[in-house]
Amino acid sequence: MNKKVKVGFFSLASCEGCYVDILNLDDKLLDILKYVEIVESRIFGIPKRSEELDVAFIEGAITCEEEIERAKEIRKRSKIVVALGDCACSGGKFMFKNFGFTGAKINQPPGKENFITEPIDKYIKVDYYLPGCPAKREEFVELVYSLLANRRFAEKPHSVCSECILYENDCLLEKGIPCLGPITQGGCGALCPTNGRGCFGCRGLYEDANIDGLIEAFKKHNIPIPDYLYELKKKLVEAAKHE
Amino acid sequence: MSKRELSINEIVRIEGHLDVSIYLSDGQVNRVQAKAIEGTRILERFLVGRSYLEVPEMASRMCGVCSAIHKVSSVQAVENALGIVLPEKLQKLRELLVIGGHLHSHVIHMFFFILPDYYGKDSALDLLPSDPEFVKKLIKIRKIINDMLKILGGSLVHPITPVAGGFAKPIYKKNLQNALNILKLLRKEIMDPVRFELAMGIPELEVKNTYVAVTDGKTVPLLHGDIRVFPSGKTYKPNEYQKVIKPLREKYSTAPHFLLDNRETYYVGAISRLNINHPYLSDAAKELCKEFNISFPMDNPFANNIAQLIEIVHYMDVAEQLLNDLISDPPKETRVDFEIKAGEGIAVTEAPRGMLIHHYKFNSEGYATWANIITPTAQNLKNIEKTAKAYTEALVNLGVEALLKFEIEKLVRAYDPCLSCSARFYKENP
Ligand code: SF4
Ligand code: SF4
Ligand code: SF4
Repeated sequence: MNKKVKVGFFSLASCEGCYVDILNLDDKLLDILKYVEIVESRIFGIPKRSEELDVAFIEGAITCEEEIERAKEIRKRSKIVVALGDCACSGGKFMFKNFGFTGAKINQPPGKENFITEPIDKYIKVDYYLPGCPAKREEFVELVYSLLANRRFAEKPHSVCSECILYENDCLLEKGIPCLGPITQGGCGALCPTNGRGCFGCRGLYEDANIDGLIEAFKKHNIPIPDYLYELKKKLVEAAKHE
Repeated sequence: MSKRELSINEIVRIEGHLDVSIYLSDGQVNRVQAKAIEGTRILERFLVGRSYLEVPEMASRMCGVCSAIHKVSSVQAVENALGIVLPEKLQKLRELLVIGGHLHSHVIHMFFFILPDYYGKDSALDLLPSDPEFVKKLIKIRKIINDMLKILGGSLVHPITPVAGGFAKPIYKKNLQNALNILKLLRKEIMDPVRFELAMGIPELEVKNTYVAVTDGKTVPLLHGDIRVFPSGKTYKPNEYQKVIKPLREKYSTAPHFLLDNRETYYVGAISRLNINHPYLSDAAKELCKEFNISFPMDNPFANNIAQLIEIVHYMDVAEQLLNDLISDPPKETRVDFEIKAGEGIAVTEAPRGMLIHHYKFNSEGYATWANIITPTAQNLKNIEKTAKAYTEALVNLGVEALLKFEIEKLVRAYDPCLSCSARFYKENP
């Protein structure tokens, strides 16, 4: 079994930051290339080949009809589809806090005039999610090696806050700096609070998130409460009703 | 009558999705269209209503390749609106971060996107079997630059540290010392590949262009200065940009196109920065120009690549100077205090790919009520069309039409286009 695993890298509506961060793996990427062959990727300079793929990595949100078709086409010829980054995982809803947005008509060429911003799993089946903005390059490596070894790839079951406390950071909320760490899924090692800036929630919602609790904490520290927290809460209540 | 259209779809090794269509009839080139067909993200929609703290976080997500300059420009526009003036040393730290971003971007472009063209290869990865040592050296260079970005920005893509008023966390003398050591290492590794690419030369093509860049009459500025047009010499203050830089809506493109004064195409990028500011290059960069017989102004659209290589050397010198200054007298503060108030702020800066404009309005609570961002690639689209037309004509006259597709792709790549951020800003229908 010396055959290399065939992968493709695709971008829908994205900033390409997730791919740039994968390029940032530098020599670790060279190690991966011993087992993996990149058969399609514009950014790596490998043109469209429409081949069958073992793994397709898709970065970016779906924002128009054309991208729906593109996602379906990729799904059809790929054994495994990975959503890379917040844009692909949630439609960028966590990074851009657009929980209330449902779509708009825009002044664009045909096929692009209905603007939406949706996660790819609204239209195709997704096998793995790598959240974050950008997706974390170390997690990409972890996933690739788990796939190669047929190991299970585990999601991180704790909040950013618990990682932040582990690092013994001073809590930013105490200083009046807004931070979404308490309601955000961990795995980034509390990257932003460790660098002195509040968590922006880029890894999506933590399972046991307590939005009311966060709103209370903001109030207590005189931090203005952003509208999107209320929008998010409303969304969650609606989703719970449907279950 | 033989009419035909040559379409070059999904040009590879650029950031984002661009098609170029060339319309020929009877050996005449009628029209060239640069069609940005990237999906739109209309980030502006999400910026409006957000607080001054959040706007730069979102604005940085326009582009993952040059997120450092987007982040810093956005923060700078916020600061301009709130009347915050940074102390000199924090300003120097910002500049260092931005230089790190430019080095990172120029290295990706010159060594991973451009180099394969000269070998006739699809991808930098294809160079691996024939010259593994060279590829490993390039990767080492990237690693070194990444280490520098990590120290200054806290992360590699979408830097965390720049916030309104300064930095989110202190950057200490020992961090700066580390950055200086890293820079010395970089200098050791990068000069060979830079000389190697300069020696390769560029295709011959002369097109007279109008060049636009930020200028201050004493440096090759990245963050502050006026808007200068060359060769006319006209100069505008940052807050006059809307008077000269006029958007144009082309039906075939999801990104807006731009013209100067509603009529003139123009070039932004390294070539424009140097055509305008070359007297202020560092000594080592000037030496290098001499060594390779480079003189200004350069009127070959491919020369943007030469300018990027010269800039790599220049920025390393500037960074070293900045680091030495800051190490001998490190900044004492991390972030200055300010009050939230209503205001309008503009930042006109130089991204790796050329002049970049962030412009916002905030209400008295610090929430954005309006946003406008003009990216370098969008400004270059019309000039890409103009020079691609000239190059096609030259190739057709030489009777080498067969090479057209390959050569035009090469020309487009010389602009270092980044569509990820250009196709972002279409206003919704009222
Ligand atoms: S998730 Fe973030 S880094 Fe990745 S494409 Fe989207 S905006 Fe860019
Ligand atoms: S800084 Fe943010 S992530 Fe860290 S403990 Fe406080 S709320 Fe949680
Ligand atoms: S701290 Fe928050 S915003 Fe920062 S990387 Fe982690 S999840 Fe994303």
